[in-house]
Amino acid sequence: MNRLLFFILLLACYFLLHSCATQQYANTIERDKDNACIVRIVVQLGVDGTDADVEAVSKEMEECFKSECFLPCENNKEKGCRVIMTAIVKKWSSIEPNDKSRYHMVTMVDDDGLPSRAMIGKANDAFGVSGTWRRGAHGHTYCHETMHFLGLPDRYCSRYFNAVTGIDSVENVCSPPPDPMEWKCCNTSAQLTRCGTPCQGHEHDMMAASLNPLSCENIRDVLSNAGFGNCPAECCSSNLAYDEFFTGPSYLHFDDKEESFGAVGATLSYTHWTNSKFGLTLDAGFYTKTEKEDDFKQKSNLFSIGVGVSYKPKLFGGVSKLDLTTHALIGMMNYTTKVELSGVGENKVSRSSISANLGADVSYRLNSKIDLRLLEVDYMPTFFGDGTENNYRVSTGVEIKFGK
Amino acid sequence: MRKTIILIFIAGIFYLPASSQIVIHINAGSRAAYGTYQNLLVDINGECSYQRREVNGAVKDSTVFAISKSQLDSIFNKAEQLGFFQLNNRYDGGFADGAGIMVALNSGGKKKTVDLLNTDVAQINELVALINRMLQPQNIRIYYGQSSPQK
Repeated sequence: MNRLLFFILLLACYFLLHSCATQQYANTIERDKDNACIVRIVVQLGVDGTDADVEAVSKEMEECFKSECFLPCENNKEKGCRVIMTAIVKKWSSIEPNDKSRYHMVTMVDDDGLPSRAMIGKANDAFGVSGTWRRGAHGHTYCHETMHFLGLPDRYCSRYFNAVTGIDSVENVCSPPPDPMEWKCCNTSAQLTRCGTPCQGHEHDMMAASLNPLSCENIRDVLSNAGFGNCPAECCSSNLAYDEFFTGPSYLHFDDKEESFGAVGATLSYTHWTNSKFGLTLDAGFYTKTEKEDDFKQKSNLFSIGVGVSYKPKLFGGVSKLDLTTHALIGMMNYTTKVELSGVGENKVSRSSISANLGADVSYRLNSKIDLRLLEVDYMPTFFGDGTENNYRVSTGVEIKFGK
Repeated sequence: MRKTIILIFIAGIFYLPASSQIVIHINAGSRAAYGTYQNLLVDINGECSYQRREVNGAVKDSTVFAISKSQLDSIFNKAEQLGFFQLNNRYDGGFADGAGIMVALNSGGKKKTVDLLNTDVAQINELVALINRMLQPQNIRIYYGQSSPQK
């Protein structure tokens, strides 16, 4: 049993590491390999600075990318594609030399009062670009600069006045035009020699003023530039509901005051997922244990059945292929003991009890149809006697999905 | 008397633009939608007007002072010596946001403006270094990231 548990844990560690591996590009924008209705944006930042710099950038990017964006279908705004953004932030010196080109290099410098800067990157380009960021930057500056890495331009126009020539010149123009104030953008003078104004329709855009938070429009702009602006037809008509079957070997530890033993067997469960988070589950299993001693033989069989709800808290999120599912079921457990004594005869006792099942499992997505349930742990109390039997079950196995 | 008034008026018309003619204009600092920039105007007599202000925002620092005629001449001489008037009009480091400097000079009617955006040009750095030495008594330093801050 210990060997089995060790093997399962080893397997879980492997898949966990695998799911967090370096991406192919500094900006990876792709449809989920197993679900075309999910678009993943992964940006890799290599911070050339202190550990505190890495932490500061990580913290802001985590906050910036925490909200998911929805790309609605043209014909049905309620259906569409989910966009998941992830920033992988590493210290530049910790990145393998061969991997460095796949990261945007961010040089952190002390705050000298000047704005941070970044080159404009491209989606799925083989090489990252670079930027210089000021420590302690205000608002959403790091996020704003990261969106430049992801290919977004600034969304403001600016002009400056040259007092030597007396000419008022354009510095940045809005794309698409026109600039606000009837192409004028803003008013300069000998006193206000440089001015800027957000482009029309971008007054609350992070790319016009970095105090604004990241919006879904920003993310849609990134997707449009990368050719992912539309959601495939299959996502606009498909039903989000699907069915899932699970089967696999289990170990059930029965813990009565008078007798405690472990039984091995198999579990079979069916879940109807009504959406990506909630499902109705039916769970059944059979577990057995045989003890033999000379002319004595005892066989204990346990049969459990339960029904209830399952919930996916989307704990791992991001680009991870790992998924956590929790469930709460109620049902019954049947316990049958058959004792055989040579020359005396046999005795068979069967009892049933209400049982509960509170548990969780971690699965690893192999493809859109099959997941590997790495480990499931359930607490399954029963009430055969006066007290409570605090039983637990450990399972592993395969999940097969239908209608997805 | 009438002729005198007319003569004084005509002289004034010619004198006023000449006295306020800006011969040096430096705008240095933010090239983003936020941050601060510095603005230095120097007229033909060495009268200087300096401001540090937020982009589209409040003035954070402002002062008026003068530099001598010889200092003004030395700026133009240095510009000639560095080949300022032969530089490109614009140098762009290829970054979004960040900082830059615009240096516009009028040396005896010869006008030239050079824009640096997120990049360094040695001649501009050297010219600004000379100007910064002259501005030192005013505790002013034109800064556009020409000496990188500490990593």
